[in-house]
Amino acid sequence: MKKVAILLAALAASSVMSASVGFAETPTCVMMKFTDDTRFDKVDSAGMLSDLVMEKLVNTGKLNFRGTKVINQDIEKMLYNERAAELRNARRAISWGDYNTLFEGPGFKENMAQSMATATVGQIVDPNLTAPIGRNNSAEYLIQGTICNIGTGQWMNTDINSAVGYANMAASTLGMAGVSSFLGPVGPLLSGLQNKKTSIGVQSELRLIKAATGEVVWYKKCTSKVESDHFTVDGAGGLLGLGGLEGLVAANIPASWGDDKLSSELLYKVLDKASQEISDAIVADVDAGKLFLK
Amino acid sequence: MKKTILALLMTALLGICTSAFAIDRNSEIAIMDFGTRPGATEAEISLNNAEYVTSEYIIDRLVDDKCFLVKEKDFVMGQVNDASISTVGIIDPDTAKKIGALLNVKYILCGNITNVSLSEAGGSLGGAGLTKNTVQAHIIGRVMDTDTGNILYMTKGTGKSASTYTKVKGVVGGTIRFGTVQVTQDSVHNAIQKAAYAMVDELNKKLN
Repeated sequence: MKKVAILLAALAASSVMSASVGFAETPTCVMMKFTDDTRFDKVDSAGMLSDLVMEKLVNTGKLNFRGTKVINQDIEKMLYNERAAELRNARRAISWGDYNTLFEGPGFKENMAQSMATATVGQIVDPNLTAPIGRNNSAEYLIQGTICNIGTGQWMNTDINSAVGYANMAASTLGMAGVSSFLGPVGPLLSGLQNKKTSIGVQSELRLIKAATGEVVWYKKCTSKVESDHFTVDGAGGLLGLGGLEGLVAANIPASWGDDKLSSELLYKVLDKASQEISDAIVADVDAGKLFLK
Repeated sequence: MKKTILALLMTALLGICTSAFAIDRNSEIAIMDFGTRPGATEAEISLNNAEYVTSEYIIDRLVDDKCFLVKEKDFVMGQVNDASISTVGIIDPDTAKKIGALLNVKYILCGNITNVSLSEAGGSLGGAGLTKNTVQAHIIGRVMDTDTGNILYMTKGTGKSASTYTKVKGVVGGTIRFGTVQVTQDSVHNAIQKAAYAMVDELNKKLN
Protein backbone atom coordinates (compact mmCIF):
# COMPACT_ATOMS: atom_id res chain seq x y z
CA MET A 1 0.00 0.00 0.00
CA LYS A 2 2.87 2.30 0.84
CA LYS A 3 4.42 1.70 -2.55
CA VAL A 4 1.13 2.60 -4.24
CA ALA A 5 0.98 5.79 -2.20
CA ILE A 6 4.56 6.72 -3.12
CA LEU A 7 3.88 5.99 -6.77
CA LEU A 8 0.74 8.09 -6.75
CA ALA A 9 2.52 10.89 -4.93
CA ALA A 10 5.19 10.91 -7.62
CA LEU A 11 2.55 10.83 -10.33
CA ALA A 12 0.63 13.67 -8.69
CA ALA A 13 3.74 15.77 -8.32
CA SER A 14 4.89 15.18 -11.85
CA SER A 15 1.50 15.86 -13.40
CA VAL A 16 1.03 19.09 -11.48
CA MET A 17 4.58 20.12 -12.32
CA SER A 18 4.12 19.34 -15.98
CA ALA A 19 0.95 21.41 -16.09
CA SER A 20 2.56 24.37 -14.37
CA VAL A 21 5.85 24.33 -16.21
CA GLY A 22 4.39 23.50 -19.62
CA PHE A 23 4.15 27.15 -20.48
CA ALA A 24 7.64 27.74 -19.18
CA GLU A 25 9.04 25.02 -21.46
CA THR A 26 7.94 26.94 -24.51
CA PRO A 27 10.71 29.33 -25.55
CA THR A 28 10.06 32.87 -24.41
CA CYS A 29 10.18 35.67 -26.92
CA VAL A 30 9.76 39.39 -27.14
CA MET A 31 8.74 41.23 -30.23
CA MET A 32 11.14 43.95 -31.26
CA LYS A 33 9.92 47.00 -33.12
CA PHE A 34 9.47 46.04 -36.76
CA THR A 35 10.96 48.40 -39.27
CA ASP A 36 9.57 49.57 -42.56
CA ASP A 37 12.22 50.43 -45.12
CA THR A 38 9.67 51.74 -47.60
CA ARG A 39 8.13 55.14 -48.09
CA PHE A 40 4.91 53.81 -46.53
CA ASP A 41 6.34 53.74 -43.02
CA LYS A 42 4.10 56.67 -42.03
CA VAL A 43 0.99 54.46 -42.21
CA ASP A 44 2.57 52.19 -39.58
CA SER A 45 2.46 49.10 -41.76
CA ALA A 46 5.31 47.69 -39.64
CA GLY A 47 3.19 48.04 -36.48
CA MET A 48 0.28 46.34 -38.21
CA LEU A 49 2.52 43.50 -39.39
CA SER A 50 4.03 42.97 -35.94
CA ASP A 51 0.53 42.73 -34.41
CA LEU A 52 -0.53 40.18 -37.00
CA VAL A 53 2.65 38.11 -36.76
CA MET A 54 2.37 38.04 -32.99
CA GLU A 55 -1.26 36.94 -33.18
CA LYS A 56 -0.38 34.08 -35.51
CA LEU A 57 2.66 32.98 -33.52
CA VAL A 58 0.89 33.02 -30.14
CA ASN A 59 -1.78 30.80 -31.62
CA THR A 60 0.76 28.25 -32.84
CA GLY A 61 1.72 27.56 -29.22
CA LYS A 62 5.34 27.15 -30.34
CA LEU A 63 6.48 30.35 -28.71
CA ASN A 64 5.61 32.01 -25.44
CA PHE A 65 5.36 35.77 -25.57
CA ARG A 66 6.33 37.82 -22.57
CA GLY A 67 4.00 40.73 -22.35
CA THR A 68 2.22 42.47 -25.12
CA LYS A 69 4.41 45.45 -25.47
CA VAL A 70 6.44 45.53 -28.60
CA ILE A 71 9.89 46.50 -27.40
CA ASN A 72 10.23 50.01 -28.62
CA GLN A 73 13.92 49.79 -29.30
CA ASP A 74 14.83 49.96 -32.95
CA ILE A 75 17.48 47.27 -33.10
CA GLU A 76 18.25 48.19 -36.69
CA LYS A 77 19.09 51.73 -35.64
CA MET A 78 21.04 50.51 -32.61
CA LEU A 79 23.16 48.25 -34.79
CA TYR A 80 23.75 51.07 -37.25
CA ASN A 81 24.86 53.34 -34.40
CA GLU A 82 27.19 50.62 -33.13
CA ARG A 83 28.84 50.29 -36.56
CA ALA A 84 29.04 54.06 -36.88
CA ALA A 85 30.84 54.24 -33.52
CA GLU A 86 33.40 51.68 -34.72
CA LEU A 87 34.00 53.75 -37.83
CA ARG A 88 34.45 56.89 -35.75
CA ASN A 89 36.94 55.12 -33.49
CA ALA A 90 38.89 53.92 -36.51
CA ARG A 91 38.91 57.33 -38.18
CA ARG A 92 42.31 58.30 -36.80
CA ALA A 93 43.92 55.12 -38.05
CA ILE A 94 42.24 55.54 -41.44
CA SER A 95 43.60 59.09 -41.72
CA TRP A 96 47.07 57.55 -41.50
CA GLY A 97 46.21 55.02 -44.19
CA ASP A 98 45.90 52.17 -41.70
CA TYR A 99 42.78 50.32 -42.79
CA ASN A 100 43.69 47.16 -40.90
CA THR A 101 42.47 48.74 -37.67
CA LEU A 102 39.08 49.09 -39.23
CA PHE A 103 38.78 45.82 -41.11
CA GLU A 104 40.24 43.74 -38.31
CA GLY A 105 37.88 45.28 -35.76
CA PRO A 106 35.24 43.07 -34.15
CA GLY A 107 32.42 44.54 -36.22
CA PHE A 108 34.01 43.43 -39.49
CA LYS A 109 34.32 39.77 -38.66
CA GLU A 110 32.69 37.64 -41.34
CA ASN A 111 29.97 36.32 -39.05
CA MET A 112 28.99 39.70 -37.65
CA ALA A 113 25.82 41.19 -39.07
CA GLN A 114 26.54 44.57 -40.60
CA SER A 115 22.90 45.61 -40.55
CA MET A 116 19.59 44.03 -39.69
CA ALA A 117 18.58 44.17 -43.34
CA THR A 118 21.40 41.83 -44.30
CA ALA A 119 21.56 39.59 -41.21
CA THR A 120 21.00 35.97 -42.11
CA VAL A 121 21.09 32.66 -40.28
CA GLY A 122 24.35 32.06 -38.42
CA GLN A 123 25.35 35.69 -38.32
CA ILE A 124 25.72 37.49 -35.03
CA VAL A 125 23.93 40.69 -34.13
CA ASP A 126 26.07 42.38 -31.51
CA PRO A 127 25.29 40.53 -28.24
CA ASN A 128 26.01 43.75 -26.34
CA LEU A 129 22.76 44.97 -27.87
CA THR A 130 20.66 41.81 -27.72
CA ALA A 131 21.62 40.31 -24.34
CA PRO A 132 20.40 43.23 -22.18
CA ILE A 133 17.08 43.29 -24.04
CA GLY A 134 16.67 39.55 -23.37
CA ARG A 135 17.68 39.90 -19.72
CA ASN A 136 15.44 42.89 -19.05
CA ASN A 137 12.44 41.10 -20.53
CA SER A 138 13.21 37.56 -19.32
CA ALA A 139 13.20 36.45 -22.94
CA GLU A 140 15.39 33.93 -24.72
CA TYR A 141 14.62 35.08 -28.24
CA LEU A 142 14.04 38.40 -29.94
CA ILE A 143 11.82 38.57 -32.98
CA GLN A 144 12.60 41.30 -35.45
CA GLY A 145 10.83 41.97 -38.71
CA THR A 146 11.43 44.26 -41.64
CA ILE A 147 9.19 45.35 -44.47
CA CYS A 148 11.56 45.56 -47.40
CA ASN A 149 9.12 46.56 -50.08
CA ILE A 150 5.49 47.43 -50.60
CA GLY A 151 4.53 47.54 -54.23
CA THR A 152 1.33 48.83 -55.71
CA GLY A 153 0.04 49.06 -59.21
CA GLN A 154 -1.62 46.95 -61.82
CA TRP A 155 0.31 43.73 -61.72
CA MET A 156 -2.17 41.90 -63.85
CA ASN A 157 -4.24 44.20 -65.86
CA THR A 158 -6.11 42.04 -68.25
CA ASP A 159 -7.62 43.36 -71.36
CA ILE A 160 -9.69 41.63 -73.96
CA ASN A 161 -6.95 39.19 -74.82
CA SER A 162 -6.24 37.84 -71.39
CA ALA A 163 -9.92 37.67 -70.46
CA VAL A 164 -10.52 35.58 -73.55
CA GLY A 165 -7.36 33.67 -72.77
CA TYR A 166 -8.57 32.69 -69.31
CA ALA A 167 -11.98 31.71 -70.60
CA ASN A 168 -10.40 29.64 -73.38
CA MET A 169 -8.12 27.97 -70.86
CA ALA A 170 -11.12 27.11 -68.70
CA ALA A 171 -13.01 25.86 -71.71
CA SER A 172 -10.15 23.70 -72.91
CA THR A 173 -9.67 22.32 -69.41
CA LEU A 174 -13.27 21.29 -69.37
CA GLY A 175 -13.02 19.87 -72.85
CA MET A 176 -15.48 22.31 -74.30
CA ALA A 177 -15.68 23.48 -77.86
CA GLY A 178 -15.20 27.18 -77.25
CA VAL A 179 -15.61 30.18 -75.04
CA SER A 180 -19.10 31.07 -76.18
CA SER A 181 -20.56 27.68 -75.53
CA PHE A 182 -18.78 27.52 -72.16
CA LEU A 183 -20.19 30.81 -70.96
CA GLY A 184 -23.60 30.50 -72.61
CA PRO A 185 -25.37 33.78 -73.31
CA VAL A 186 -22.57 35.80 -71.64
CA GLY A 187 -20.05 34.42 -74.09
CA PRO A 188 -20.41 37.03 -76.82
CA LEU A 189 -19.73 39.76 -74.26
CA LEU A 190 -16.17 38.56 -73.70
CA SER A 191 -14.86 40.59 -76.57
CA GLY A 192 -15.80 43.72 -74.62
CA LEU A 193 -14.99 42.54 -71.12
CA GLN A 194 -12.07 44.01 -69.26
CA ASN A 195 -10.80 42.93 -65.92
CA LYS A 196 -8.56 45.42 -64.18
CA LYS A 197 -6.71 43.89 -61.30
CA THR A 198 -5.46 46.20 -58.56
CA SER A 199 -2.64 44.52 -56.74
CA ILE A 200 -0.56 45.19 -53.73
CA GLY A 201 2.46 43.17 -52.76
CA VAL A 202 4.63 43.17 -49.69
CA GLN A 203 8.07 41.74 -49.21
CA SER A 204 8.85 41.11 -45.57
CA GLU A 205 11.54 39.45 -43.49
CA LEU A 206 11.52 37.94 -40.06
CA ARG A 207 14.46 37.01 -37.87
CA LEU A 208 14.64 35.02 -34.68
CA ILE A 209 17.65 36.12 -32.67
CA LYS A 210 18.98 34.27 -29.64
CA ALA A 211 19.22 37.08 -27.11
CA ALA A 212 22.17 35.76 -25.11
CA THR A 213 24.48 35.28 -28.09
CA GLY A 214 22.97 37.56 -30.71
CA GLU A 215 22.92 34.68 -33.18
CA VAL A 216 20.30 34.79 -35.91
CA VAL A 217 18.83 31.30 -35.59
CA TRP A 218 16.06 31.66 -38.13
CA TYR A 219 15.39 33.93 -41.07
CA LYS A 220 12.69 34.03 -43.69
CA LYS A 221 11.90 36.37 -46.54
CA CYS A 222 8.37 36.24 -47.94
CA THR A 223 6.69 37.97 -50.82
CA SER A 224 2.92 38.11 -50.61
CA LYS A 225 0.39 39.60 -52.96
CA VAL A 226 -3.35 40.26 -52.98
CA GLU A 227 -5.55 41.54 -55.75
CA SER A 228 -8.97 43.06 -56.23
CA ASP A 229 -10.98 42.93 -59.44
CA HIS A 230 -12.76 45.59 -61.38
CA PHE A 231 -14.76 44.44 -64.39
CA THR A 232 -15.96 46.69 -67.14
CA VAL A 233 -17.88 46.06 -70.32
CA ASP A 234 -17.12 48.75 -72.80
CA GLY A 235 -20.29 48.17 -74.78
CA ALA A 236 -18.57 48.04 -78.12
CA GLY A 237 -20.82 47.52 -81.10
CA GLY A 238 -21.78 44.02 -82.12
CA LEU A 239 -21.96 42.65 -78.60
CA LEU A 240 -25.17 40.74 -78.66
CA GLY A 241 -26.68 37.85 -76.79
CA LEU A 242 -27.12 39.01 -73.20
CA GLY A 243 -30.82 38.36 -72.98
CA GLY A 244 -32.73 41.48 -72.00
CA LEU A 245 -29.60 43.62 -71.91
CA GLU A 246 -28.66 43.11 -75.50
CA GLY A 247 -30.31 46.36 -76.59
CA LEU A 248 -28.37 48.40 -74.01
CA VAL A 249 -25.06 46.80 -74.90
CA ALA A 250 -25.63 47.26 -78.54
CA ALA A 251 -26.24 50.93 -77.87
CA ASN A 252 -22.68 51.31 -76.57
CA ILE A 253 -23.61 51.85 -72.93
CA PRO A 254 -20.73 50.95 -70.63
CA ALA A 255 -21.18 48.83 -67.52
CA SER A 256 -18.80 48.19 -64.64
CA TRP A 257 -18.53 46.27 -61.39
CA GLY A 258 -15.95 45.99 -58.66
CA ASP A 259 -13.35 48.22 -57.05
CA ASP A 260 -10.27 49.55 -58.76
CA LYS A 261 -9.04 51.73 -55.90
CA LEU A 262 -6.19 50.90 -53.65
CA SER A 263 -7.59 50.78 -50.14
CA SER A 264 -6.12 50.21 -46.72
CA GLU A 265 -8.20 47.03 -46.67
CA LEU A 266 -5.92 45.67 -49.40
CA LEU A 267 -2.88 46.68 -47.35
CA TYR A 268 -4.33 44.91 -44.31
CA LYS A 269 -5.08 41.81 -46.37
CA VAL A 270 -1.59 41.58 -47.79
CA LEU A 271 0.01 42.10 -44.37
CA ASP A 272 -2.27 39.44 -42.91
CA LYS A 273 -1.26 37.09 -45.70
CA ALA A 274 2.42 37.85 -45.16
CA SER A 275 2.13 37.23 -41.41
CA GLN A 276 0.40 33.91 -42.04
CA GLU A 277 3.12 32.82 -44.45
CA ILE A 278 5.86 33.75 -42.00
CA SER A 279 4.12 31.98 -39.13
CA ASP A 280 3.53 28.87 -41.25
CA ALA A 281 7.21 28.88 -42.20
CA ILE A 282 8.33 28.95 -38.56
CA VAL A 283 5.96 26.15 -37.60
CA ALA A 284 7.03 24.07 -40.61
CA ASP A 285 10.71 24.45 -39.71
CA VAL A 286 10.10 23.63 -36.04
CA ASP A 287 8.06 20.57 -36.99
CA ALA A 288 10.62 19.46 -39.56
CA GLY A 289 13.40 19.75 -36.99
CA LYS A 290 15.17 22.50 -38.94
CA LEU A 291 14.69 24.96 -36.12
CA PHE A 292 15.49 23.97 -32.58
CA LEU A 293 14.40 26.51 -30.08
CA LYS A 294 16.20 26.28 -26.72
CA MET B 1 -4.16 5.66 4.14
CA LYS B 2 -7.03 5.10 1.73
CA LYS B 3 -7.99 8.74 2.02
CA THR B 4 -4.42 9.78 1.28
CA ILE B 5 -4.31 7.58 -1.80
CA LEU B 6 -7.64 8.95 -2.97
CA ALA B 7 -6.42 12.52 -2.49
CA LEU B 8 -3.19 11.78 -4.37
CA LEU B 9 -5.13 10.11 -7.17
CA MET B 10 -7.40 13.15 -7.47
CA THR B 11 -4.40 15.49 -7.49
CA ALA B 12 -2.73 13.42 -10.20
CA LEU B 13 -5.87 13.41 -12.32
CA LEU B 14 -6.34 17.14 -11.83
CA GLY B 15 -2.78 17.77 -12.88
CA ILE B 16 -3.10 15.59 -15.96
CA CYS B 17 -6.35 17.23 -16.97
CA THR B 18 -5.02 20.76 -16.50
CA SER B 19 -3.63 22.05 -19.73
CA ALA B 20 -0.62 24.33 -19.51
CA PHE B 21 -2.58 26.96 -21.41
CA ALA B 22 -5.92 26.43 -19.65
CA ILE B 23 -7.43 29.49 -18.13
CA ASP B 24 -10.36 29.74 -15.80
CA ARG B 25 -13.41 31.25 -17.48
CA ASN B 26 -14.82 32.12 -14.07
CA SER B 27 -11.88 34.31 -13.10
CA GLU B 28 -12.15 38.05 -12.91
CA ILE B 29 -10.91 40.01 -15.90
CA ALA B 30 -10.42 43.72 -16.57
CA ILE B 31 -10.97 45.05 -20.07
CA MET B 32 -8.73 47.92 -21.06
CA ASP B 33 -9.35 50.61 -23.64
CA PHE B 34 -8.13 49.48 -27.03
CA GLY B 35 -5.52 51.45 -28.94
CA THR B 36 -5.45 52.53 -32.56
CA ARG B 37 -2.51 52.47 -34.91
CA PRO B 38 -1.58 55.73 -36.64
CA GLY B 39 -2.32 54.29 -40.07
CA ALA B 40 -5.37 52.33 -39.00
CA THR B 41 -7.85 54.43 -40.92
CA GLU B 42 -8.40 56.30 -44.12
CA ALA B 43 -9.22 59.97 -44.38
CA GLU B 44 -12.93 59.30 -44.98
CA ILE B 45 -13.28 57.45 -41.69
CA SER B 46 -13.46 59.07 -38.31
CA LEU B 47 -12.59 56.85 -35.38
CA ASN B 48 -14.23 59.06 -32.82
CA ASN B 49 -14.08 57.42 -29.37
CA ALA B 50 -13.46 54.02 -30.97
CA GLU B 51 -10.96 52.95 -28.30
CA TYR B 52 -13.55 53.22 -25.53
CA VAL B 53 -16.40 51.86 -27.64
CA THR B 54 -14.47 48.76 -28.67
CA SER B 55 -13.90 47.71 -25.09
CA GLU B 56 -17.58 48.37 -24.32
CA TYR B 57 -18.66 46.03 -27.13
CA ILE B 58 -16.23 43.40 -25.88
CA ILE B 59 -17.63 43.65 -22.35
CA ASP B 60 -21.14 43.40 -23.76
CA ARG B 61 -20.36 40.13 -25.53
CA LEU B 62 -18.32 38.65 -22.69
CA VAL B 63 -21.14 39.28 -20.22
CA ASP B 64 -23.75 37.89 -22.62
CA ASP B 65 -21.68 34.75 -23.15
CA LYS B 66 -20.96 34.42 -19.41
CA CYS B 67 -17.29 34.31 -20.25
CA PHE B 68 -15.16 35.58 -17.33
CA LEU B 69 -16.35 37.78 -14.50
CA VAL B 70 -15.90 41.18 -16.04
CA LYS B 71 -14.92 44.03 -13.74
CA GLU B 72 -17.02 47.14 -14.08
CA LYS B 73 -15.24 49.27 -16.67
CA ASP B 74 -15.73 52.68 -15.05
CA PHE B 75 -14.47 51.31 -11.74
CA VAL B 76 -11.44 49.81 -13.51
CA MET B 77 -10.58 52.99 -15.37
CA GLY B 78 -11.13 55.09 -12.26
CA GLN B 79 -8.74 52.95 -10.27
CA VAL B 80 -6.01 52.82 -12.91
CA ASN B 81 -6.30 56.51 -13.65
CA ASP B 82 -5.98 57.31 -9.94
CA ALA B 83 -2.85 55.19 -9.90
CA SER B 84 -1.57 57.03 -13.03
CA ILE B 85 -1.19 53.80 -15.01
CA SER B 86 -1.33 54.03 -18.80
CA THR B 87 -3.64 51.34 -20.10
CA VAL B 88 -4.51 52.20 -23.68
CA GLY B 89 -3.51 49.70 -26.36
CA ILE B 90 -0.37 47.76 -25.59
CA ILE B 91 0.49 46.93 -22.02
CA ASP B 92 3.85 45.73 -20.77
CA PRO B 93 4.26 42.95 -18.18
CA ASP B 94 5.13 45.31 -15.32
CA THR B 95 2.04 47.41 -15.93
CA ALA B 96 -0.05 44.23 -16.16
CA LYS B 97 1.22 43.17 -12.74
CA LYS B 98 0.37 46.57 -11.29
CA ILE B 99 -3.13 46.40 -12.75
CA GLY B 100 -3.57 42.83 -11.47
CA ALA B 101 -2.57 43.82 -7.95
CA LEU B 102 -4.60 47.03 -7.97
CA LEU B 103 -7.82 45.45 -9.21
CA ASN B 104 -7.26 41.96 -7.87
CA VAL B 105 -7.77 40.41 -11.30
CA LYS B 106 -6.04 37.37 -12.74
CA TYR B 107 -6.35 38.45 -16.36
CA ILE B 108 -6.57 41.56 -18.45
CA LEU B 109 -7.75 41.90 -22.03
CA CYS B 110 -6.20 44.60 -24.13
CA GLY B 111 -5.38 45.17 -27.77
CA ASN B 112 -5.50 47.33 -30.83
CA ILE B 113 -7.87 48.38 -33.55
CA THR B 114 -5.53 47.29 -36.29
CA ASN B 115 -7.33 48.65 -39.28
CA VAL B 116 -10.62 50.26 -40.25
CA SER B 117 -10.91 50.56 -43.98
CA LEU B 118 -13.34 51.57 -46.62
CA SER B 119 -13.78 49.70 -49.87
CA GLU B 120 -16.05 50.70 -52.64
CA ALA B 121 -17.59 48.29 -55.09
CA GLY B 122 -20.13 49.30 -57.60
CA GLY B 123 -21.54 48.98 -60.99
CA SER B 124 -22.90 51.32 -63.56
CA LEU B 125 -24.89 50.85 -66.67
CA GLY B 126 -25.31 53.99 -68.63
CA GLY B 127 -26.33 56.74 -66.22
CA ALA B 128 -27.69 54.36 -63.59
CA GLY B 129 -25.45 52.92 -60.95
CA LEU B 130 -25.10 51.27 -57.62
CA THR B 131 -22.26 51.87 -55.19
CA LYS B 132 -21.66 49.75 -52.15
CA ASN B 133 -19.43 51.26 -49.47
CA THR B 134 -18.13 48.66 -47.07
CA VAL B 135 -16.42 49.62 -43.85
CA GLN B 136 -14.32 46.80 -42.46
CA ALA B 137 -12.84 46.81 -38.99
CA HIS B 138 -10.12 44.50 -37.76
CA ILE B 139 -9.20 44.25 -34.11
CA ILE B 140 -6.74 42.08 -32.26
CA GLY B 141 -7.17 41.33 -28.57
CA ARG B 142 -4.78 39.73 -26.10
CA VAL B 143 -5.55 37.94 -22.86
CA MET B 144 -2.68 38.45 -20.50
CA ASP B 145 -1.86 36.75 -17.20
CA THR B 146 -1.22 39.53 -14.70
CA ASP B 147 0.98 37.29 -12.50
CA THR B 148 3.44 36.26 -15.18
CA GLY B 149 3.02 38.86 -17.90
CA ASN B 150 2.55 36.06 -20.43
CA ILE B 151 0.09 36.37 -23.27
CA LEU B 152 -2.22 33.40 -23.06
CA TYR B 153 -4.41 34.03 -26.07
CA MET B 154 -4.53 36.37 -29.00
CA THR B 155 -7.61 36.56 -31.13
CA LYS B 156 -8.69 38.77 -33.94
CA GLY B 157 -12.09 39.78 -35.12
CA THR B 158 -13.33 41.28 -38.34
CA GLY B 159 -16.58 43.16 -38.84
CA LYS B 160 -18.18 44.63 -41.94
CA SER B 161 -20.86 47.23 -42.39
CA ALA B 162 -22.14 48.08 -45.83
CA SER B 163 -24.20 50.96 -47.11
CA THR B 164 -25.58 51.29 -50.61
CA TYR B 165 -26.04 54.26 -52.85
CA THR B 166 -28.25 53.84 -55.88
CA LYS B 167 -28.65 56.22 -58.76
CA VAL B 168 -31.35 55.62 -61.36
CA LYS B 169 -31.85 57.67 -64.48
CA GLY B 170 -35.45 58.84 -64.80
CA VAL B 171 -37.44 58.12 -67.94
CA VAL B 172 -38.17 61.80 -68.52
CA GLY B 173 -34.71 62.98 -67.62
CA GLY B 174 -33.28 63.73 -64.19
CA THR B 175 -31.83 61.27 -61.72
CA ILE B 176 -33.33 59.56 -58.71
CA ARG B 177 -30.91 58.80 -55.84
CA PHE B 178 -31.24 56.44 -52.88
CA GLY B 179 -28.88 56.05 -49.93
CA THR B 180 -25.77 57.97 -49.04
CA VAL B 181 -22.35 58.23 -50.62
CA GLN B 182 -20.79 59.17 -47.32
CA VAL B 183 -19.38 56.85 -44.70
CA THR B 184 -21.44 57.38 -41.59
CA GLN B 185 -20.34 57.05 -38.01
CA ASP B 186 -23.01 54.36 -37.67
CA SER B 187 -21.30 52.26 -40.33
CA VAL B 188 -17.96 52.58 -38.54
CA HIS B 189 -19.46 51.65 -35.19
CA ASN B 190 -21.40 48.74 -36.69
CA ALA B 191 -18.20 47.38 -38.17
CA ILE B 192 -16.33 47.80 -34.88
CA GLN B 193 -19.16 46.16 -32.96
CA LYS B 194 -19.16 43.15 -35.29
CA ALA B 195 -15.39 42.91 -35.08
CA ALA B 196 -15.49 43.03 -31.27
CA TYR B 197 -18.19 40.37 -31.13
CA ALA B 198 -16.30 38.18 -33.60
CA MET B 199 -13.16 38.53 -31.49
CA VAL B 200 -14.96 37.44 -28.31
CA ASP B 201 -16.62 34.53 -30.15
CA GLU B 202 -13.22 33.40 -31.35
CA LEU B 203 -11.82 33.67 -27.82
CA ASN B 204 -14.77 31.71 -26.49
CA LYS B 205 -14.08 28.95 -29.03
CA LYS B 206 -10.48 28.74 -27.91
CA LEU B 207 -11.45 28.60 -24.24
CA ASN B 208 -13.83 25.75 -24.90
